[in-house]
Amino acid sequence: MNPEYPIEFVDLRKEYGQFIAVDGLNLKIKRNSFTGLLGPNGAGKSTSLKILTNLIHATSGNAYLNGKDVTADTKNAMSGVGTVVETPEFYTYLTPRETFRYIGEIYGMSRESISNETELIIDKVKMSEWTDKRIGTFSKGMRQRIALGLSLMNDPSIIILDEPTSGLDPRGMAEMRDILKNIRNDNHNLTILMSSHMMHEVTDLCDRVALINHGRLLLHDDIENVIGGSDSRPLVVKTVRTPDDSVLAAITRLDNVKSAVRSGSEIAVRFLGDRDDEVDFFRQLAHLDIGVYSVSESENALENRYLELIKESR
Amino acid sequence: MADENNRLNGLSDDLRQAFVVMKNEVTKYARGRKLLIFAALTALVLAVVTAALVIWGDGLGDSSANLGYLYVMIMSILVLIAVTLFASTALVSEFEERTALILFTKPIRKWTIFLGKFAASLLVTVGFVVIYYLIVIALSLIGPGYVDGAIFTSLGLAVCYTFGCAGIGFLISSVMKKASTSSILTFFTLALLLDMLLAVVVIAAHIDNPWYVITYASGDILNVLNPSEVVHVARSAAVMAVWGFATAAIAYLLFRKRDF
Repeated sequence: MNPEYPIEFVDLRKEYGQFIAVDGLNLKIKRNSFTGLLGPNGAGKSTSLKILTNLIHATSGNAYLNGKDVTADTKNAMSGVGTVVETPEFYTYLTPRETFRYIGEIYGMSRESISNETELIIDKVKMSEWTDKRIGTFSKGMRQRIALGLSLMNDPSIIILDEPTSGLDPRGMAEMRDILKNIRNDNHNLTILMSSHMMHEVTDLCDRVALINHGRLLLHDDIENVIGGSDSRPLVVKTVRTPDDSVLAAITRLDNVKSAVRSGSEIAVRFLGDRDDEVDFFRQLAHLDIGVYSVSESENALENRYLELIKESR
Repeated sequence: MADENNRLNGLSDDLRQAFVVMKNEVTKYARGRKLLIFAALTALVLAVVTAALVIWGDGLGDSSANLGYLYVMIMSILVLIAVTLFASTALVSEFEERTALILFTKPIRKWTIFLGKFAASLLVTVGFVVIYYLIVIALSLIGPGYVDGAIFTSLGLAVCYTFGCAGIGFLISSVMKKASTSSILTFFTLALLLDMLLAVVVIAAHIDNPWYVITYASGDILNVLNPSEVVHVARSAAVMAVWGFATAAIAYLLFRKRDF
């Protein structure tokens, strides 16, 4: 196994009777990347992650964590791996501190390490006030933060997250994303694989994306490449007045612009250049004097690309 | 040599983890009040039998075996209730309450989890059985003034019966989807179904002595305290133990294969 890819799916297949949930999935996740596993409902995201975390058995094929087969060598494969699968429930009769102690003891950590890590992690997931309260009384968002905290126990090199913000209210989602960003910023030697069906979440958090549908991999690349397609990146130009055809033509003539089309009251531009070229583009736009007040990366770019690929894969 | 050392280290770590799981299970019983409920039930049984002896009988009498017989009459039912409370939900609750998402995704083998849970239910149930017999022994010393050796034999058989019943409880727990159904089914299997099966075997197959059925073998827990009964202690103990091992082994295989 190549150490550059700590997570690997090799010809993974899962059948439920006639239904094929995962259909020969081959995917290698780069070390220290934050990869979003995107796909519509029923695409096989959760099934793949459940096989990867030893919750269900594959019909055929293999899943590897740090080069260890999850089915054949479960204990070694799961060492150094943190997981949050769906919204886990906890032992309601335990407090977060006791839960961390239980899981720490499973890992074989010393009492001192457990105690130190518990304080640090609980603070990181913003649950310090609730350390000694029974989990049975916690909201879904609180339980999800505890689950995320547990995934950080014993200094993992891999974290697997299955729709970690699913079912949370907007505030809970934002808090969870903030915590994930902090975890990422605190430790760059961490490989994170997160399934989601929320484009903006993946764009916001991940540096790579894997698109799957019908249990098959459609695309796996850096987010920037996926958003930009093969040769261009989508930008959104906003003007104070609704752009007419002459404005669109003027923008199309600018350097490195592949196309410019009206999208509602905005202009969707396909841009061919790099970041330096983008600076020139802003300057030229200003000289056109067409009332531009905002230029940004298109937030819908990933969604557009995703829908395009999903449509092609049908 | 290195491989052998790794294997032994691995095994010792697995057993350490099983102990951790067992501790957590016992905490669950204690905080979920199952321990308290069962302790209260056991105390009530002891109190009622003692009160009945004092009020309507000859007090504690002068025969240790007779005294033991009266107290042990209810032992099978107590074991059934204990198994229903502690063993029948041990596996299914991880799936139903979704705590498997926490425990099963950790570096721990399925057999370690199984062993920890099985040991916890056995430890607690056997603990109650032993305490119950110790009280009977103490009463025997207070009343008749001696302890008949048959009481210890009965205790040994009761422990074997606990093991056999725990295996059946785990077997049912390994396939059910709901803890409540598993509890009900475990209780009725042990209290009625196996007895009905026994009756069918006796009547339909004209077998007078179906010694291989666990409930039949469990009769010796009481019979051993009755001098007029012919008992096969070793055979009954072996039958109950085989039921325990066989059902626990099948339960483990089903548990290992079970998807979340």
